[in-house]
Amino acid sequence: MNLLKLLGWEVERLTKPYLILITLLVVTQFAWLGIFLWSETNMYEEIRRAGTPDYTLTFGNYLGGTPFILSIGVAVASMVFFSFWIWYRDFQGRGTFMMRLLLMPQQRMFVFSAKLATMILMILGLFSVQWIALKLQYIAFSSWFDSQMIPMSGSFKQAIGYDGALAIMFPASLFNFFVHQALIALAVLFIFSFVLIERSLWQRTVWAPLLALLMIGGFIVVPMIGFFTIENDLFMEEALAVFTLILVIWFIGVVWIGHRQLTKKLSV
Amino acid sequence: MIEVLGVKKRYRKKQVIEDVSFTAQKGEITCLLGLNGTGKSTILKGIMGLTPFDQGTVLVDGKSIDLNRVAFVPDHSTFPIHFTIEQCEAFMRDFYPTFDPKLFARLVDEFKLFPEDKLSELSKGTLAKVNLALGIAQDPDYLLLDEPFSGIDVFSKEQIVELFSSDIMEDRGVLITTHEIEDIEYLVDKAVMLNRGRIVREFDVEDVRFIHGKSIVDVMREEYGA
Repeated sequence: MNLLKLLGWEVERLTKPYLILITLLVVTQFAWLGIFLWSETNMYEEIRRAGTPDYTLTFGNYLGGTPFILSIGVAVASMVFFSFWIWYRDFQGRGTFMMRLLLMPQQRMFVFSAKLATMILMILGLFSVQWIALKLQYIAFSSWFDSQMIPMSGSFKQAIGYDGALAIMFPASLFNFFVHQALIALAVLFIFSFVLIERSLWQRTVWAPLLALLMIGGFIVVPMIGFFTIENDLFMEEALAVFTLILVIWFIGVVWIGHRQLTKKLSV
Repeated sequence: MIEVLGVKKRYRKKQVIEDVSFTAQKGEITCLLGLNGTGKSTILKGIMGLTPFDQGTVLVDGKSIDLNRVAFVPDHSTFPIHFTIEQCEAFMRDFYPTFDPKLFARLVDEFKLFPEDKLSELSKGTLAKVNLALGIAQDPDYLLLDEPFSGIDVFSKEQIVELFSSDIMEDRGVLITTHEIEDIEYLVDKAVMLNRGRIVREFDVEDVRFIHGKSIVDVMREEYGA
């Protein structure tokens, strides 16, 4: 019950900046779509007047435009920023709100879990909005060119498949969707671990951020080096099993770090 | 009884708490005294687990600390400054199971606070009263107060001191750090004096007053040579 209350509390606190981000994302993409349709139609007209209408468009052309890629980049960067900010805002100023959170008579891991769940909800929300926006953009894109009788090639699926970031948003199967979400959650957990280690060390050393970065970096890189060293000697199934094991170790590791820092090390 | 047993704490190269042990009884006011930077606030935060000690143990009635029974009132607000007093209360009601809204309402009334006021608009004295009201309304057995009189006006101080001798504080153990010892000297039962992270003197205030004819300030003068 307290976890749900805390989750509601965290979500409420992030709602305003999150809605601003979503609005910016959608407005940027639809504005870019408008500009793209207008310029491509003009170009087609010019080519047609020249008498060589050998011209086909794909939705991928639109997705490859700088404004669209930038909008996705800003959304990803914002999620990374939110993952840091969801903790650091509670450490701001002398009257740190983190003190109030740590004084609550409940498990401190509730604070951790509520923040993690908030981030995952926000990321899933962003995916949903992007998914709907992209579908609407495709409908607008194809209807416009159909109405202008401009030839198009390639399907929505093909266009999405060419883009790495969008392929994560539109996974080929439910299994892939869960794998992608697990990897995203792991990335968020690595950021959480960094913040909690840094905040536990800041009163002891001015090198706290660097030390925290080295510790988390080491935790990520060492198993990867081990994996790449033995990868060539393994069958594909074995390599997959080893990589899954590394993922499990990372998950257990970051949750353990979060628990230890919050209950034994964190200093406010 | 709060038992602090052999606690130590180091910040960077400085040992701020060096093997400190003392007790604070329920129903009594225990005052932690010392010059600036002697580790008084660090001890209170350490007891609450906000700044974990490097070594040592803290027991409350023989068990590890239960945050439902011990409340901490720092010398600053722990809520975002855009919060109103009623938003602070709502948060406390939601997340602190022992929080008593009736007791809070009584304290708001006694301190003449306005629930719709934002924390950012409050004076230091009013903010201290809000902090204290939120802490006491948790209805704890033990209350830890960090510099509750720091930088506040004489009338706010009087209101807070009056509260210490009221029925609201009856049977609660209070562990307090303050520089304004004159204001509460007659209320304090026990004093623990710190210097450079060590306890230099621990005494029953009444004994010192009646047997030796000295006030806490007199003992502080002797100890700190001020």
